[in-house]
Amino acid sequence: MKKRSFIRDVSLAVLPFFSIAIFLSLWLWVASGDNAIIPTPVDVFNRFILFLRTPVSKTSIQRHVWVSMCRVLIGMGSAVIIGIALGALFALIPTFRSVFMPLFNMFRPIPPIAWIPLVTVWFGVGEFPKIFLVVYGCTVPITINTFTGISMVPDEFDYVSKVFHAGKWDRLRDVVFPSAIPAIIAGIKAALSSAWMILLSSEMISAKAGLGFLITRGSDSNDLALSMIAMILIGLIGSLMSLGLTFLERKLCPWETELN
Amino acid sequence: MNSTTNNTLIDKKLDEIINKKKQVGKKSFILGLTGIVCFLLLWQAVVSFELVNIKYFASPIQVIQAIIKKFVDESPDGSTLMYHVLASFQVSFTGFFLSIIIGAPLGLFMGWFKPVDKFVRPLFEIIRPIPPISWIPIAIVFLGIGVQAKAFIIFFSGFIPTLINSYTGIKMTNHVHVNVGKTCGASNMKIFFTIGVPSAMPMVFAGFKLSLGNAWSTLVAAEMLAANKGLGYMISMGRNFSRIDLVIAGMLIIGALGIMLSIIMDFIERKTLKWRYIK
Repeated sequence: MKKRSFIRDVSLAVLPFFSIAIFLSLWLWVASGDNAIIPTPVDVFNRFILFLRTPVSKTSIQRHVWVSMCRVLIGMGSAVIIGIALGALFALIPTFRSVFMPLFNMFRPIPPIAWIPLVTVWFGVGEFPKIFLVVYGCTVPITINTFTGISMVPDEFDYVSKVFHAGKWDRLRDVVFPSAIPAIIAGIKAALSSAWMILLSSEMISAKAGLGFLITRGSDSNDLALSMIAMILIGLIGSLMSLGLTFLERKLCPWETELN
Repeated sequence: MNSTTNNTLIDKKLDEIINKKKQVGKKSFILGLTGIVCFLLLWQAVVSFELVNIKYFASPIQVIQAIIKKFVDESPDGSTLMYHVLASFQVSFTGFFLSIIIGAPLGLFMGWFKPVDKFVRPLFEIIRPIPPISWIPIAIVFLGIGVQAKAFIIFFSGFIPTLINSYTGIKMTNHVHVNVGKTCGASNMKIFFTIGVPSAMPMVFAGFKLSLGNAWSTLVAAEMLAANKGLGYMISMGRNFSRIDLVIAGMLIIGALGIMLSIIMDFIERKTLKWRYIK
């Protein structure tokens, strides 16, 4: 019995590597051959080394990453502020909610990406429209989650704070917001992936630098390795950012962390 | 995988709150209506009095006219509205159904059978953080710019939430139920199908809803980059011909159809998961 479980353990430990190996060999198999249309992993790596030395479109790789990062971070930052404020107003002021919630719900189902043509007509193709779209797309999930998070605060908490004669501001700061934080962070996480999505599509449609631009550039100039580098970079940065958010969550609300 | 679970729970709670709010009743309804009417009037006034450059704006009335006209008028993009809508539906449903057919079983198996989890997870973790839209160049190289390429992009956008939700759903199976099954001598497969899968269904459905929403919003991006029909194409053509009324009309139609799809999804959930709604 014991021996069998040992075999099981070993095979379980090996399986992940096995699947990655299959993936890589499949990639190699598709990419090699006479009329292969996609680059091999080695090609991609070589292209990456080349890219480190020679800039694309007069912009170095660090600069491309930096430009996209800035857009996402500025957009997300503004969206966090606007979203939390709007969500709190919705949750705490019933009249405000009655008047503006239907309007908000009217805009909500329109995907941010569908705004791209209109926004480019209004604001051109510079930096502002891209950030604006990210802000628009990220504000929605953060607002909804803040609203729900605050509305979800158990009534008992409210009673306790009333018993202790907490003022309105004290209640907000010490009771309402801390218990809403997990929901707010979940909203920010959801916003993060849509932020990259929106940014990418607006960069792919019109931009002079940035990771989305690299993807289209690679595709247009028959340089798929370049597109793949951009994809991998986006994936890496995206997962790093969401790891950062998880870390932040642990710091801000350690009581929510599950025991694994 | 936490945030998705949280979000699903939050969505549930939101529904409850909204339902509670419905009882608060008429006063807030009237306030809300006033808000929307004021917004529309303001919008109309801004355009009518030419407070903005009307080349870049269209009034609500113009938008409604554009929608009505588009039912029969093929200009400027060469197809009527119904044709665009059908084209978009075709693409998004193909991608969506592919993603649930592959994503849900895979997620369920990953959550139940450890070897499957170990095998699939590394690949999944590689794919997960890459935004679906960035697959467009590769999709175009392999599949051209037809329905297949777009369906492929949409497949990616829907696949990920479906898989995560199915996985989380089956992980949340009540241990007591599993133990009862074991005590009664059921095999692992039997427990999986009769206890694990049914109890995961609510989460699986939440995943379907997320993935339908994703599919619908990714569709627009896929169509704006590479297409010759569909609602996203209609919007970008409207922009190229500076028909702002058509652009806004397209956005509103996309939003309205999105709401319609999620209502249909709710309806299907209510029908198929009847046992959850019996009190």
